[in-house]
Order: sequence, then structure tokens, then C-alpha cells
Amino acid sequence: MSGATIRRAAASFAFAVGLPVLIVLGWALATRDTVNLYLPSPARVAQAFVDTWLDPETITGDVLPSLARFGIGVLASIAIGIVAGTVIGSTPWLRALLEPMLEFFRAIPPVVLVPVLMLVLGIGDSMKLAVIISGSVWPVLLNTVEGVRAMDPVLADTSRSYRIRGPLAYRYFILPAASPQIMAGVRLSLAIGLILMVISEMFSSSSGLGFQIVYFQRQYMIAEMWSGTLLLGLVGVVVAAIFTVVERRVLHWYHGSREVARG
Amino acid sequence: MTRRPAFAVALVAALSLGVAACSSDAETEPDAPDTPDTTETDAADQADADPVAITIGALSISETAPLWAAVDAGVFAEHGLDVTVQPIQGGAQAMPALVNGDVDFSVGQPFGALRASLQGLDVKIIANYASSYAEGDDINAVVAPAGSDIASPADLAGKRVAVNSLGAAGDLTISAAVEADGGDPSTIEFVEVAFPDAKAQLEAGNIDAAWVPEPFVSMIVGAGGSVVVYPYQAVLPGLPTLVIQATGSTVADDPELVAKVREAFAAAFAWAAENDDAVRQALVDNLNLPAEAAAGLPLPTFTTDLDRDLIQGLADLAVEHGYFDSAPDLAQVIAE
Repeated sequence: MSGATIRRAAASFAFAVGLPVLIVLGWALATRDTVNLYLPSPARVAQAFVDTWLDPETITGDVLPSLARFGIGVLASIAIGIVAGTVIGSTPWLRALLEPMLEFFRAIPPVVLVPVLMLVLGIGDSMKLAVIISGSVWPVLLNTVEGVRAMDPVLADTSRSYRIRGPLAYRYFILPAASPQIMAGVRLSLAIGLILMVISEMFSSSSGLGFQIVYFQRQYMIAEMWSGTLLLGLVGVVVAAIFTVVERRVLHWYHGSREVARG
Repeated sequence: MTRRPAFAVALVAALSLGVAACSSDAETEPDAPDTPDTTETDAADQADADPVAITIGALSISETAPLWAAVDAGVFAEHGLDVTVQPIQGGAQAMPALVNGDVDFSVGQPFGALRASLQGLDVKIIANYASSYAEGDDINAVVAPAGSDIASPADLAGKRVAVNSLGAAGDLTISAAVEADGGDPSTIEFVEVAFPDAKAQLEAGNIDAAWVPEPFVSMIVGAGGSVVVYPYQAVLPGLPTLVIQATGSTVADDPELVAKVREAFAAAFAWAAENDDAVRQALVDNLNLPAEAAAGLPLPTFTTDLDRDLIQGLADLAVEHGYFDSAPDLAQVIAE
């Protein structure tokens, strides 16, 4: 029994790392005697990764501030999105009033707002947070509006007949009912937030992960640049893993009920 | 009564046939004379000195004006070169295009060429393109907004200073100028702000000073700001701002072409010096500058004569301030 479990775990691990290993092998093979600066070998990039990103000065000066801005920006987006989305979703006239405009603002690429945000908010962290939030709030907000609006009418009637109103209704009925949609929005906004974290640091910056990557690119330190994008990818994988854990906790009832429904 | 619809149908059919005939005429007509035309010009070209087609990468900035104007006026054609000017976004973007052959020559900052060479890119400086002024009003400056208490380079210590890109000639020469004036350059907080955004950021108080080229120097000074220092002039008077670059393989494989390009640029600059109106018109045509602004815009010195000592000085300065780990070998970088 335990042998089978171990074998299954080993197999799933092999599947998870198999493709990356193959890609790195192919990459190493293709670049084994390259002199092209723009296509460094994996060993060269790994060396650059160790030299650049495991340096305590870079970690405290560039990586941690970037991750903090990403974390704060995304958490603020989620909070703003859920609160505003719930209000808009549960007020029909407000929804009718705002929905076209929200779709309009959502279509504005945050990058073009950067010069304007720089004037209003200066060139510090608040500008960078605003860039992150201005892009990653939309999936959560619009999904929450949709989730709250599309509640199961039977459940709505039931909770009304039990006179579950106000905060209680939000806590036990409205938000849980909308949570599958909200979590789908959160997943999108995490990805957008990571991209915008990088972009926000490409303007009027002097530190951060995004700044470093552009700096390396301009200094022709191409292996270092690749190592930065590698770090970004790893951050993306970790963030996705954290999200999966949180999603399972928040939506355990939902996955359970889907499994029951599938029979 | 019954005939009328039939007549109408016949009329429509006839008309549409006519239209179809016309349109097919229109389609075939331009093609026909086109073909002999191109062969004619080809023949003419071959009869001529057989011009070599080259692509020159250049930034869309006012310094490119003499190149645009001279290409239009046929100065390069007289030297047997059929030049296409390819707009590039920045030095770092130009280098891959140069290496993979999308552009044959590129006009870029000497600091970028030194840096690229140190990183192992096969790039060589074949000639000077533009230089700053050794005295008088220079073409780039560190400016402070109206009411600022920054009066000398040393006052920049501890302040937030904008440059367009960090780790390049701007922050390097500013650091050196501050040090020469008795300030501590390590206390300057350099931030990246694009040149066109600098004026608004200065006025908003987000930055204390900014390094900008013309026309932004004039704009900011005109709005009450002041010039703190001309960093190039203070550190390396007459420092080249732009040089002409090619790959080492171009220099090795086709020295005649390189010599021809060098000569053509020298002739273009001589022509541009006598045809200022055409250069100013190129600013209007290519950068959409208003004619009045183009007329008064200060331009650098255009010359192909490269001052090795200044390039050496720049490299030494970069090593001294920790921008380069080691000094690049100028014999490798400069091809003359």
C-alpha cells in the first residue's frame, strides 16, 4: 500500500520535472559550443543566477522590495475587487450604471498610464503599486460582480425565507456562492500583477527585479538578464503553488460538491 | 409592361460587364509598364558605379538630422552607397540588429560600444559621428528647476538626479563632475526618467535635478530652471556623443566598404555644414518638430574624426568609478 503511494508520488514528481529537465538538456545541447552572447548556455545562466540573485545585497535591495510591492499590490487588488464587486454585484442599478464603464477602464493598458501616474503619485512605491493595482484589480472585480449577480436563485430564496440578511448573508451565503468565480479572477490577477510589477519598475526606477532585468539587457549582460527572467518564472511557479493551496482551502466545498455531482 | 423588367435586367447586366471590363483594365494596367521600368533602372544602376545597398541604424533624435538630409540630397549616392536609415530605439536594441546583420552600420553612444565590447560582442567604432562642445553652451546639461538651491555640481550630493538610463555616460560623467567639485558622488540617488518626462517631474518635485539633452535644456531653462553643470564639458571636454559602429567581421571582410562609408559620412557632414536649411528641414520632416523649434535647436559638432584620447578618458573614468571591471582594449574597439 505504502509502496504504491511512494511509487505514485515518484511518478508524479518525474512528470512535473521531466519536461523542464528535457528543455534544459536541449538548451545545453544547442548551446554547447556557442559564442553567441545572446544565447548563453544553461551553465552560464546558472552561474549568473548564483552570482546575481543569491547575493544578500540584491535580495534585500531588489528582490524583496519587488516581491513586497507585488504582494501588497495583488492583495490590495483582491480586497478592492471583492468589496467593490460585491457592492456593485448586489445593487442592480449600480451595476447597470457602472458595468460598461468598468469594461472601458479594464481595456486601458496600465503601461500607458505610467507617465500620468508618475505625475500624480511621484516616482516612488505608490506609483508602482498603483500600476500593479490598475491592472490586476479588474479580473477580481468583474468576476466578483458576475459571481454575486449569478447566485443560485433557490439558495437566495431559501436564505431570504430564513431571514438571513446583512453581514450574515454576505458571510455565509453571498460570498461563498460567488467564491468560485472570485478565485478564478484572483488566479488571473496574480499573473497580471507579476507582469505589472516588472513593468512598473522599468520606469523611473533604480532598483527592483524589473529594473535589474532591463539594466542587464542594456549593459549587454545577457546571461544575467536571462537569469532574471528565470527568477521571475520561479516566482510565478511559487505564486501558483501558493494559490493552489489557498484555493483548495477556500473552495473545498465546491470541489467536493462537483465530485458528488459528477458521481 | 412585361418587357420593362427584362430591359432593366439587360441594362444592369451590360453595365456590370462594362464595370468588370473597366476594373480588370485598371488592375492590369499599372502592372504592365512596371516591369520594364524596374529593369530599366537596374540597367541604369549597373551602368552607374553599382551602388552598394547598406542599412544604417540611427536613433530618432535631432542628431540624426544631417544623416537624413544627406541621404535625401544624394550625398551618399555620390559615394556609391544606397543608404537606408533604419530607426532604432536605443543602443542596446541596436546591437543585436548589428550582430545579426539587419543593419550594417549603426550610430550609437561610444559608452555602449565599449560596454558591448567588454561583454564579448564583436563591435567596433569605425568613426566619430557627433561630439559635445569643449567650451560654451554644451548640448546636454544637468538642470535644476526654478527656485532650486542647487547651484554647483557639489550641491548634487545627496539629491535625487534623473538620467535617461543608469549605468551609462550620463551618470558616470555626473559622478565624476560632482567628485571634481568636492562632493561625494556615492550619495547621489540616480533614477531613470525618460528625457521628455524630466521637465514635468522636476516641476512636480519628484526629482531634484535632471540630465537632459537639447531641446529639453532650453525648455527647462526657458521655464525658469538653471543649468547646474555640463557634465561632459566638466569632465571630458568635447566628448563624442555618438560614434559610427560596425561589427568586427564587416571591418575585417570589407575594409573598402568601411572606408567608403567613412568618406561618405565626412562628405555628408561637410555638405550639412553648408546646407543648414536642409538639416533643419530634416528635423521638421522626420521628428515633426515645428519649423521655429527646428531653426533654433542647438546641434552638436558633426565630424568623423575620432579623438582616441577622449574615448580612452571615458574608459578610464568608467573603470575608476566601478562601471567597468577592466579597461577595454581600445586597439580592439576602434578600427581606423
